[in-house]
Amino acid sequence: MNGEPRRATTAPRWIASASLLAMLLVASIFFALLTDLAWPLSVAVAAASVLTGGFLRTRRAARGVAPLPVLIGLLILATNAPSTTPAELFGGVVPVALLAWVADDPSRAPGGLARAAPTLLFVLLMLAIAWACAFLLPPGESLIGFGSGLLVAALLLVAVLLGRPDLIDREPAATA
Amino acid sequence: MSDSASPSLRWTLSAYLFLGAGTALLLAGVALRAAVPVFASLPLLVAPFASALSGPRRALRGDLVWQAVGAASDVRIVGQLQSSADQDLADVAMAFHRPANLAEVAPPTFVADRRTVRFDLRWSAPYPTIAVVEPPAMVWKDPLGLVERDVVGQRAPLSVDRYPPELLRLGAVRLDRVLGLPGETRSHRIGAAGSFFGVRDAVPSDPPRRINWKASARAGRLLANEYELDRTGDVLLLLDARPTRLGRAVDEVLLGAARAAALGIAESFAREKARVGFAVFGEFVEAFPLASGRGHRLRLREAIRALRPSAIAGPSERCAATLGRFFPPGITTLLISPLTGDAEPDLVPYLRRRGYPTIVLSPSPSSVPRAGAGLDPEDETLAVRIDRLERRQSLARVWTFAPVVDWDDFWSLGGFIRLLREPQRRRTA
Repeated sequence: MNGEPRRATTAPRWIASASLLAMLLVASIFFALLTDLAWPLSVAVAAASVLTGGFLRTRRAARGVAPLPVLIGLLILATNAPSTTPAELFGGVVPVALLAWVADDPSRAPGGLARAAPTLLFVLLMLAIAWACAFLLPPGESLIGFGSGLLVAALLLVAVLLGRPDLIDREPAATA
Repeated sequence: MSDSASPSLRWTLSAYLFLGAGTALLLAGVALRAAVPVFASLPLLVAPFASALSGPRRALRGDLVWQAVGAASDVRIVGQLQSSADQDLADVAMAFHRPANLAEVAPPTFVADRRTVRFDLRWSAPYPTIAVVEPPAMVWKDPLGLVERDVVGQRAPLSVDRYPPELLRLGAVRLDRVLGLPGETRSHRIGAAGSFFGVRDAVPSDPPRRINWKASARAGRLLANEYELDRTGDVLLLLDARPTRLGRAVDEVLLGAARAAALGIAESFAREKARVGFAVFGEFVEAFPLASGRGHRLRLREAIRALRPSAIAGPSERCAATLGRFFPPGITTLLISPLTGDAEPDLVPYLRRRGYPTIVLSPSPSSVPRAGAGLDPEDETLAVRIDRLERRQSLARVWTFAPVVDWDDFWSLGGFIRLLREPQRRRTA
């Protein structure tokens, strides 16, 4: 088998991908500077994770796991970030930048970012609602209970949908 | 042919990565009572489900139309996947399985628009070959690569047949007939050559020289001449699939070329309505008795495609004796054998003794590049000369029983066709 199909790659595709990688790098470094880690260490973690992801994407065999280093870097930085408004904002921006970079894969048909726009807009809407709840609503004990309930519901939803993707799928079963 | 792909939605490895990282961040946020990991987890947890919901909610349906073009060693596969349900195919990825006997010349190119994906694969066939290219795996993946599903629809395997082009003209060779009862089959056929038979309405594919201009002028419409030709005779194709001392890899290459030649010869004679028999000899003989017609052509094609080198070599006498049960003596027998095994040259005398006039086409192992044995250039040259002398001696031994064609240029069979056309050249000792 030839493996994943290769498409004729042209420079503009790589330029778009490199631009999105640069955007992800800048967002990660900004986020890294807001964490409690010593800045050289945090910047090194952010830069290393993003650049490793970019390198893995150029390798055909490792393309599927290219987001993994970025996710690990995000996990390290987010768990060491203080609960300040800028850190909370950038904590949401970095994953969105990661999704935008993932959407524009040079090995696939061009225009991936535009085709992923509905998904990204939906994610941004959810993030905006979460930010609005956190920053605009008055703090109180009831919010903790509300948040915990949402968390449990989200985890249950994840567990159910992972096991039953056909709940989203509208294709009739072959035996129907 | 329909495929058996499952059209159900599936999560990809990336989706599991995102969901795993999102869950880890969420749990870390709860454990550390920190808001930042929770905010970071939100896009990662939402994205897979948003992707699944924003993609097509039903199976994608697309029909594959493809063909092999090019000639001789050039193999170009072009085609397109066309949406049969007016769905967007821009995110469909196609993975082709290249048969081992074909080599890639250039990376494939894909041009996708909303309803169609066009592709162009540039391969080459180093040797004559018949290969079946299976339909590609076609998977739709959302732009983020988080969910996927197979594309369903009509698709059929593609046959790539590459043999020397001279074989296309081989059908004009006159063959002897061995029918015990000539009335069993029609002895004449109507065609483009022979003696005048009649006049019929012309069709667009008729060349100008077949148009009967005087009759056309009288009738006021185009009429074409038809000719009657004696039907050609019978031929037996015998393929030697026994293992040789050259090893499995070289055997595969030689049998691949032999299969291609057998297919080309069988198709050419079958097109001319000759009766073609086919037999392959490995440990035992597998035979397809003499017949003609489209069904027989299809049977032969399938049998030749399915041929693999035998693991065990059967005794030569077994082959000659078994052929007698299926084919009448006296039939023109074309044996395709590399003549490299210890027992192979013996096969020809046995065939002669049983009454089969044989012509041998021998794919030359000297033309197959082999891994060097660490010889310096001088010794290498010497080894090649010894190989040629040994080959010549081996063929000369067979020439005493039957004419032999040393097939060393795999893309040409001119010598073989001359031998068939001119029986006086077949004189043996």
